Amino acid sequence: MSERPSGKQQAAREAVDILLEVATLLLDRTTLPLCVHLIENGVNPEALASMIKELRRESEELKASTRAS
Amino acid sequence: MAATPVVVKQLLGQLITAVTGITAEKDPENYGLCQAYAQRSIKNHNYVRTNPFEVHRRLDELEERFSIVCKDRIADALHSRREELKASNFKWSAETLSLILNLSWRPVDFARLSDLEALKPPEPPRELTWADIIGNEPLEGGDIWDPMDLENGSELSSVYDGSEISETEGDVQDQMKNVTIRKKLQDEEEEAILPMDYITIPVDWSHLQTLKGAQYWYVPATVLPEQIDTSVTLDNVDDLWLVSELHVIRETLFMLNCVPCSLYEVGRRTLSEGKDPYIVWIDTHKIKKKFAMRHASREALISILTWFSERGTAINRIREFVKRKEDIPSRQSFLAALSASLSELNQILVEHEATYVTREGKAQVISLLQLQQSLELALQPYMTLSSIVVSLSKSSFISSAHSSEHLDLLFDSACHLQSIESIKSFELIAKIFFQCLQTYLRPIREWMEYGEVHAQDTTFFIRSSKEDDDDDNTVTGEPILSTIWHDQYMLLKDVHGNLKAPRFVLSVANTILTTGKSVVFLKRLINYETLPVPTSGQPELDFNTVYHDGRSDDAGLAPFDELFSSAFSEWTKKKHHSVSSKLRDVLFTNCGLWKTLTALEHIYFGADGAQLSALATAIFDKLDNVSLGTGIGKRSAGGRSRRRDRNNLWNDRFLLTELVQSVFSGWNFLDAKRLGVRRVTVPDAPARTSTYESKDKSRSVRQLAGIALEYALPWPLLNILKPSSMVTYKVVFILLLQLRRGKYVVERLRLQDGGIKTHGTGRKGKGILVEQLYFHLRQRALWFVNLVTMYVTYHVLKPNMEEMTENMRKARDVDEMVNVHDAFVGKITDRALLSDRMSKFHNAILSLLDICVDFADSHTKYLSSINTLTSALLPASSGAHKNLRRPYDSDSDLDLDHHGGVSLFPTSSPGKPPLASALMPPPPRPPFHRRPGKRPRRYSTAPSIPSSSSEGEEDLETLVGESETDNDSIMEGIDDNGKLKKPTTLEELEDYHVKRLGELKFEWEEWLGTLRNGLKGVSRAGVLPHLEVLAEGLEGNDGIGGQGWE
Repeated sequence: MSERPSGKQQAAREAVDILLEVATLLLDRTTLPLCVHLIENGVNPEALASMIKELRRESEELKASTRAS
Repeated sequence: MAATPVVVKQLLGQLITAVTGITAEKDPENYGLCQAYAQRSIKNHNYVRTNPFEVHRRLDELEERFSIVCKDRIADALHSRREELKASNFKWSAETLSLILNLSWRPVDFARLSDLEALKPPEPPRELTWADIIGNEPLEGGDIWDPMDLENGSELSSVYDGSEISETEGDVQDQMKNVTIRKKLQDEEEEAILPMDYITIPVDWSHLQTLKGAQYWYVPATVLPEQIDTSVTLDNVDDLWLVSELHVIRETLFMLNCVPCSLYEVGRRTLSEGKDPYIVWIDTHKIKKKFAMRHASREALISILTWFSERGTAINRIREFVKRKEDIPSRQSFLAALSASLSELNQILVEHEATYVTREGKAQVISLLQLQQSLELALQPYMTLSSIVVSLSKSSFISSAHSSEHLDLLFDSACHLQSIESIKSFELIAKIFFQCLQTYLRPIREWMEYGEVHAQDTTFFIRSSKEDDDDDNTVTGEPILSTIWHDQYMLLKDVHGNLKAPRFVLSVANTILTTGKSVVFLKRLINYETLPVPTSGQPELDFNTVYHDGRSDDAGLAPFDELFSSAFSEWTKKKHHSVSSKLRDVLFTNCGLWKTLTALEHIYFGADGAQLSALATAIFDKLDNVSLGTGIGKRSAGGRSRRRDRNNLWNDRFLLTELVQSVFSGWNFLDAKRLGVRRVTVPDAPARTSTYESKDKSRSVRQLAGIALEYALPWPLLNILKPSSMVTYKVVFILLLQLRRGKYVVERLRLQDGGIKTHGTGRKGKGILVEQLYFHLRQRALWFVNLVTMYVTYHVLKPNMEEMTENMRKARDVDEMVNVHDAFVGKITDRALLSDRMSKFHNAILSLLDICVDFADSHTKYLSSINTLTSALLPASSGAHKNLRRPYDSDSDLDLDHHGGVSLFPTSSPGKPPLASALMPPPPRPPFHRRPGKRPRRYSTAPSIPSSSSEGEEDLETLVGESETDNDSIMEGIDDNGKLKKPTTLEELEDYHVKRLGELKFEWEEWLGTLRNGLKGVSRAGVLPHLEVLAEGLEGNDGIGGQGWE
């Protein structure tokens, strides 16, 4: 069996891999690692989710207005 | 927020860029707005903290909804991921899942399993390998090692041919040359293709496909759920690799042969021991994910693989252990035996493998369970061996060169396996044990046959003392012969006193030591060259001899340890018996052990009473002559130095040696020339205090302890009769001498002819009193001395000597002889009241003997004074001088008890009453009890306790009391300066003597009472019951009738 890198970093990476799979099942591949980092820094996940949604919406609107102009 | 805002700000920036595509560089305005919005929204919000249960509830609902819309596989996949996530213990899993749930957009409608494919990492670019390089440019053949063709336009040629002088011209030329070279190389490559390359060999592609198919680990197989066990399908893992049972068997056999394989993992980190490189284990996660058997559930597969992996771990550990390098022969044998057993196992595995490989034309059932069953018995012993190996690795076996722990563990395991009827395992372990034992026995055999110990053999439990210390005797390399048996060789013990040997040796360790020592002893005694033990015909200790030959058919249940102990004991006994019996014969005959014992009995125990009597009389005469020369109890300033000189004469060692040699000469069993006397310091002992006058210590019987009678023994016998035990012989001799001294002085005492009646005219009462006291004390002194002499000789020395001689005759070896003799010495020391714990009794006896001497001296002085006074009063009288005798005149006609000498077994009746004792009433109990050594009060102070004694006794008491009343007190005899006044008249003399004798009488009673009560107390306490004999003797008669022992 090959030697695996041990420690906290490895555990976190494995967790993100699994979450990515979960996220892929539920929604498109996004910036999940960034969100996980933010959550690890104490950001409320629901606030974060609503913020991302709002940003997406604003972004879509911005793109649409840009395209229209 | 707890996190650093800078970090969060950076993360938010990246998130904004990822979500919206806006960057700070391209669109700083919008980016700033987004950043501000993001920061504000994560700071100021109304959301509560994430509830993990709520999140899981929502996910459960989601799974259910997937199932409802017939997306079971997605539901299962989601479930399995959630399980994995739970197992990973990710701290923020609930929060992250909540985020994902919040971000998800109608997952039930849009989620697709195929999206997971996008997550697979891209194939990494293939690394350049040597195979590729050599494939392109083979290292062999061709002209690659030829010198470089510099002239034909190599790149280097342009450097050295000076062509760069003209740059433009040179460049053009170079380009042209390069084109030419490339073309030429292409032509050469085309020409280099060998004709062999064009040969095509037809390949049976079906074989290739079969081979590829067999390599299941390369080919993922899509398994339909209905093809495999239902329990496997329940997990719904979609990338299973189906393996056949044959594959699993092959992997298992590979693993048992320590070949790397896919199903089993080798080496991992354990919680208790850190990294363990030898453990074989099953990665259940991997197995569950990747492998499945068509007709077996995963749990069954994992269970059976785990069973094999445990055996594999055991074998791995043994294989690793046998790689060790050992210098100690016994351990080398152990490793060799382990290697041999591993070879046997390999053979078994190969045979099993062969049945699966060469099954041409035969139907072969392929079953993992069958393999497990057939290998179970073969593998079982290796589990035990592995536990032994692990125990040894953890213990001090590795570090300590003295340890033979492997033998202990093998022996214990063999006993255990036999007791649980695991015969196959037992036989393997027992055979390994016996292989190791053969090597271990080698030094033991050498020691028992040749008496040799090799210092470099660290596992042998016997050591020569000269290897360990730097005593004087080892400077010359020659041990002290007198202690060669006890000191030269010893058992090797640890700090706790435990023998450094395997446990099964402990019971025979002393026998082994004794046998070897006997050989060493014999070598010195008889120039021993040939072996007394024929090596041929000796039983060998091997498995068949011990286990199969050692038990009868009926004794199939005989425990192995019993069989082994019996065989081992027999093995040692045979050697021990022949050597020891030879040594015993040599000691008895050549070294004269019997003669020496007889000699010691005669010299120290007075077996021949006449000899002892002659010796004692001669010594006492010398002693009395010295005392007489100075005058008993007299002191003069000028006579002190003279006295000292004379006093030295009685124990002059040269004269005494001559005396002793002359007394003991003429016996064939003792060599008188070996006898000698030396002076020793008299030990300080609590002596009794005399009442009337200061005790003259030179007259005490204790002075006799100042001489020590020596009998030089030959060195072989000194190893048996140890010098330390000879001290007891000397002390017994002194005690006998002291008893004889007490008897000697009293026996020779005379009540003057006509005595008191002659001089006591007008004072008849006092004369009778002196007479009564005289006979009273004399009778009791003789009775006591005879009683104690009788006890020491009849009850202590004689029976114990006989017992010791008998035991010595039966002793099997020198150690037993030493033990017998030591026990004998211990017994007589205790029973003759000579040990430290009996010192009070011994002191009491000596004090009583001192009273005898005091009595004799006082009476002699009294007679002498009477004679002096009589001659002064009646100068013309002729009868006075006639009656004056030297004290202890041996020609006395009143020597009632005198006989030729008290032998060890005296012929005279002990305690025979003196002639006058019939007139004496039984002695009274002391009117008050006084501790020995304390000065008694005046007799007149005696309380009027009604006495139970006879009338005569009362008369004696009354008379003594009267005499005191007449004289008022003893102090009357003391002048104003506190010095004794010399009695000037017969009356005063008689008074003085009556008081003196009365004092001695009471002192006697005190000491006797103390001795008697003490002995009774000790004997009743059960400490030394034999003392009851003496106590009863002392109690049975207070001096009248000479009772005691019959």
